[in-house]
Amino acid sequence: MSKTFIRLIQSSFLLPLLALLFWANSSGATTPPNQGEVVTIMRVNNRNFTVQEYATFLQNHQDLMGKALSSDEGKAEIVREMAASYLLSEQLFKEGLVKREKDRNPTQQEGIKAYEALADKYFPLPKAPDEDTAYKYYQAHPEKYGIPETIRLNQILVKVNDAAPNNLVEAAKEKADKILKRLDAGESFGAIAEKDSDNPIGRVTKGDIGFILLSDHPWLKSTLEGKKVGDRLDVVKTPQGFEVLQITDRHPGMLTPYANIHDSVVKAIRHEEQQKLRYAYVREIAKGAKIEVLLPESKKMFPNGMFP
Amino acid sequence: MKKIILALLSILSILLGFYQFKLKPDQLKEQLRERAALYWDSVRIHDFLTLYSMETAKVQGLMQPHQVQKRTNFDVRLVSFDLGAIKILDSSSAEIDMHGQYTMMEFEGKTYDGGITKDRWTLIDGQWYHGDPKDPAQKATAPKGPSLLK
Repeated sequence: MSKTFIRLIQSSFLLPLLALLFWANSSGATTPPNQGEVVTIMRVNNRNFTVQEYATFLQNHQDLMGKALSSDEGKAEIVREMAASYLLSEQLFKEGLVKREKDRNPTQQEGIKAYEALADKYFPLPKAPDEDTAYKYYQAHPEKYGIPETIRLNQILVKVNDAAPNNLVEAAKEKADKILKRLDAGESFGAIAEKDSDNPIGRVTKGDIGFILLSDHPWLKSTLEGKKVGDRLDVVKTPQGFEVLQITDRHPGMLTPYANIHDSVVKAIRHEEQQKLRYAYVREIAKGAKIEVLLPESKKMFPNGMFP
Repeated sequence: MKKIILALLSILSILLGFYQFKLKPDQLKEQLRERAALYWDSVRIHDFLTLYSMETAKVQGLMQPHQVQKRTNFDVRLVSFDLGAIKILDSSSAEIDMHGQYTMMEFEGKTYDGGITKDRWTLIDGQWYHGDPKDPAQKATAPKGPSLLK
């Protein structure tokens, strides 16, 4: 088994692609088999993609599950990857790397071999980075290579969408300011959070959102500069709305020693670079494809098209 | 003088080790209950440093810091827990029942009962550590609630 083959097997994008390859083999097919009530999310070159397929795709991308549950951007990423995988599978036929046969689908081995050839031609795995690059990458990603710096917070959230009209944003800010005054007057943080926070988990935990990774919240890092455990912050504008925060604990980070993780770092850099090449290639072939998002609530997730 | 101090320290460590072996089952259980409470509270608040320090695999050199948070499901949040019956399995391992209540963002402030987790612990040098000593790091028991996503 070649190293390239192993790398391809390890690629989280390969298995879903193989599944799509079977569908792509039957030219003119517009809906996948075994569908009950079909809700179509998008159409790529006359191939419909259903909500059920989205769920199946998600099962094959456990790493994206969190994103899919937490934001529209995450959902969009998965739909985008479905489209990319399908376009790539079509490309395998166009390039003659697999043959379109009436009575049989390509085998898994044929699919892998074809994908390997396509990748080698258009988005090959880059060479290993130099040591300096690898070490800088390691230092810049404590969330991948250790336990990053964390901070424990109490939070009361007044949720408001960034795109909300001004009057709603002002009302949310006013509500947050009033909460701050109630805290100043001596009301307990937990009691207010339990009753008034718009964070559903925070209501259950009386505002205690536990330790969070500073690397996950870049806006928080600057907000917390110079603050110490026990400090309460003024109302902070965040991506979620307005928040009243209190620092209850803080832990420094702890990295896995570089020597122990060197190979993973090199592998991650190469994979990341290859994904960039892959994306650029998909964007190119997407220019000649017809991609339509059909589900109304999904349309807003792609303001700049499927592959901006 | 240095030699005397070293000799005294050696004797002290032997005595401490002997004392640990002589701990009665009730004392071992009490010690485990305290450790398990600290561990599961650390799960509740995502305190990775404490979790890492309490893993058997870490003590055995089979776990690195970056492996701790990878096991954490950030979508499912442990809200509260009760520790139940403790079963001492042999001279160095035990099991404690952990009954957790969980929530998720989508639950809009409601919690659900995660049932009872049979939580395994290992006694190493007189201290309880979380997990089975035979498991390699990658397979160490992950703190999690029941999956709602299947």
